[in-house]
Amino acid sequence: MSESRWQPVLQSIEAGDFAAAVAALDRTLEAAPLDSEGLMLRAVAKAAQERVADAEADLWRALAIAPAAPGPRAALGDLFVRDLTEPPAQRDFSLGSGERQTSPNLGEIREDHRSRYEFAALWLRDALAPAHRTTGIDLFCGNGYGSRILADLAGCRMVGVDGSADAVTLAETAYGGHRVVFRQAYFPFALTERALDFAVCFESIEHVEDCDGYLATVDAAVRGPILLSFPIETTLPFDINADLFRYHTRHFTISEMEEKLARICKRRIAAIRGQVVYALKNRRLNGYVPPQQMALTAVKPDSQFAVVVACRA
Amino acid sequence: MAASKLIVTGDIFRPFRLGQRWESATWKNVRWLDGIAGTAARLAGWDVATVSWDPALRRSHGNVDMPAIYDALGLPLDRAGWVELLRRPMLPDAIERELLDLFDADLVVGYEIPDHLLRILSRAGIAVVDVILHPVRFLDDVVFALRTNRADIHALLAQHAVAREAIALQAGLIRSKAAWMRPPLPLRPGAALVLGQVGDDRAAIDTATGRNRSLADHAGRLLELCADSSMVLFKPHPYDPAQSDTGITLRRLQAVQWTNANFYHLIAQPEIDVVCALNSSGLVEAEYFGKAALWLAPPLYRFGDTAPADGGFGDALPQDGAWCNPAFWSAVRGAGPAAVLAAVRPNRLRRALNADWGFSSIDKVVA
Repeated sequence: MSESRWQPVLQSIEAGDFAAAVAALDRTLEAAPLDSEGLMLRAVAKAAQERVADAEADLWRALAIAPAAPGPRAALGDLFVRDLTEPPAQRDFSLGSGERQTSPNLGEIREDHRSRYEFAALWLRDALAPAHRTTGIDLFCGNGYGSRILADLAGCRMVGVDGSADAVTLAETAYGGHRVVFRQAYFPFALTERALDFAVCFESIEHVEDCDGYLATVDAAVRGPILLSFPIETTLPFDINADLFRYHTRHFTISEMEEKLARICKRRIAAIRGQVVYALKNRRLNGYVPPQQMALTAVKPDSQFAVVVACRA
Repeated sequence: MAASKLIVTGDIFRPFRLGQRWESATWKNVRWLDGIAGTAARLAGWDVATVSWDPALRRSHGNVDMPAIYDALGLPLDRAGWVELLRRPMLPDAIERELLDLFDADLVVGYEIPDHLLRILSRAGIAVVDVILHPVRFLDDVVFALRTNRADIHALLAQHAVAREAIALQAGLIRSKAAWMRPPLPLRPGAALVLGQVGDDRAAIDTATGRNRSLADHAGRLLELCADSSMVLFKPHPYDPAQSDTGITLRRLQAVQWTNANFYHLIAQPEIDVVCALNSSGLVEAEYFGKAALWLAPPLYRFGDTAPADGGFGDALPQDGAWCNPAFWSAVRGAGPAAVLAAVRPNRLRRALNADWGFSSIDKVVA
C-alpha cells in the first residue's frame, strides 16, 4: 500500500476520526471505484465504527478486484474472529497429523467428508434466499475443501477457520478465492456477534472441551442456521474408542445434542441425516466402509454420525 | 390502380472506414432490404427505388452525396463527425430540402432509419416503415420489428406481430436442448453474465454527451455486481479490441471470469441469475430465459404495441415473415390482396443477412 497516497486518511484513522476517513474514502472511491486499497482502508474505518456489515461488503469488493490481496483476506478473518488463543504446543497441528484431509483437489477428499458438505450446501442453497448473498463461517475447516464446496454449490461467501496454520496455508492456496477466505484461530476464540448468516461446524464439537461454550459462541455469531455433525455415542462409544479418537473429548447422543441446542441456543433441529463411515468390530473401529456406503441417509440404528441443521425455535 | 412510389433506404449518415477512405456503413443494408422488401413491393405493384450513399448503384437509385453533406455541415467525414451529426437537434434547412428531394415518395421503407431522417420524412407527410433487426435472434429465423408513423400501417403490423408466447416457447426449446449438453463451464448458483459490446455500435453512443458508452463507464456497478453475485462471467464482443476501455476495466476486476462460450448455452444454465450489458440485444433475449436483465444504458429502440400518434412513430412490432411477401405491401398500398409467394422457411432471412450471432451453434445437431 502506498502510504503517502493515503497519508491524510491514515492520519484520520490514527486520530480516531473514522467518520472523516470514511468521508474522504467515499470521495476517492466515487471517482475510482476499483481502488482496492481504498476499499480496504474504508473497511478498516467502518469496522472501527462497528459497522461490521458495511466493512465486510467493502472487503469482498476489494477481493473482487484483487482476490489474492493479503490485506482484505486477513481483514475478513479479523472482522469475524477475535480474542485469539495461542494453540497448545503439545498438539500436532501438522497436515500429517491424521486429523485433516490433505489433498488440494476436491476429487481426492474422502467421500464421508465431501458428502456432509454437499448436503449442507444444497440445504443452504434452498433455504437461504438467496444463498449467494450470504456469508457463512466454516469452523474447524481443516484444509478448506468444505468451505469451497459450500461456495461452489450454494454460491455463498465463506470464512474458514482452523487451528492449524499449515492447514490454513494449504486452504488459502488450494481452495481460497475471491469469495472464500481462511484464517488460523484456535478455540476458544470470540466471534463477532450476529455478524454471519450461518455456521458450519463439522467434526468440531467433539474436539472441544467446553462444548457448551462453543455452541454458545457459535450461536451468538450467526443470524441463521447452524449445521453441525457429531459422532453418535450409541454406535461409536467414546470410551471404547477413545485411543483411536485421540483429539476427541466426548461423543453425543442425538437427544443430548437436541437438548443442548434447545437449552443453549434456543434452536431446534430442522433437518437431520445419519452417516456410516467405519467398519466396526465389537463396537470398535476396524477400518472404513466402502465410499459408496458413506452417503448421508435418514438416521438409522447403525448411523455413526449425525449431521443436523439447527434453526432458531 | 396507379403505381405508388416506394423508396427503400437506410442509415444514410453513417460512415465506415475502408482503408484510407470513408464509405457508407450501411449501403449493404439498403441493397439487402431492397432485395427482399423492395422485390415484394414491386410484385405488389409499387414503383420502387432506393436512396443511399451508394455510388455504385444506377438507374432507379438516388445516391446521397454524404461527403458533401458532411462538408456543408462543417463536420469531418469520420466517426466523430457522425456522432456530432446525430447529436444535432436539427439539420440546416438546405440539407433537409436536399434530402427531401431525394425522398419524393408515398412511402419510405428503411433499414434502421436515423432519427433525423425519420423526423424530416414524417414532417413532410411521407409515410414511413422503419425495419429494425429485433433483439431476439433465436427463433427459426431472425425477426425484424417494424414501426411506422401511420395508424393504418401500424394496424397491419399488429396483425402480423410475433407473439411473446412464441418467443418464450422457443427459449424453452433451447433450454431443453441445453439440458442434454455438458455445461459450458463450472458455475455457481447466483452467477451473473456480463456481455461486451463494440464501441462503435450506434447503440453505444450517448447522444447527450457525444461519447461512446462502454462498460468502463460503469465500473462501480460492475463491482457491485461482483459483490452481489456468486461469480461473474464476461463474454467479450468478438470485434471489441483487446485493449478497449471495456477490456481494461473487466481485467481490473480479477474475480471476473472471461468466457467465449455460446451465449444461448450460457443463458440456458440455471445457475445464471443476471445478465448485464449496456443495451445489448442479449438483455432482451435473456429475459425470455428467465434471467434478470441489468441495463446500464437505455435501449436504442422501443419495442411494444403502442400506435403512432401526433405525427410520431409507434412502437416497433416484431413481425412474422409477412413483410417479405407482396401481399403485405399490397395491403400497405391499399390495393387488393396479392398472392403469398414466399413460403416460410427457417433461416431464410438469417442466411440472407449472412449473420448468426451464435444461434446456429446451439441449433446444430451434436450427436
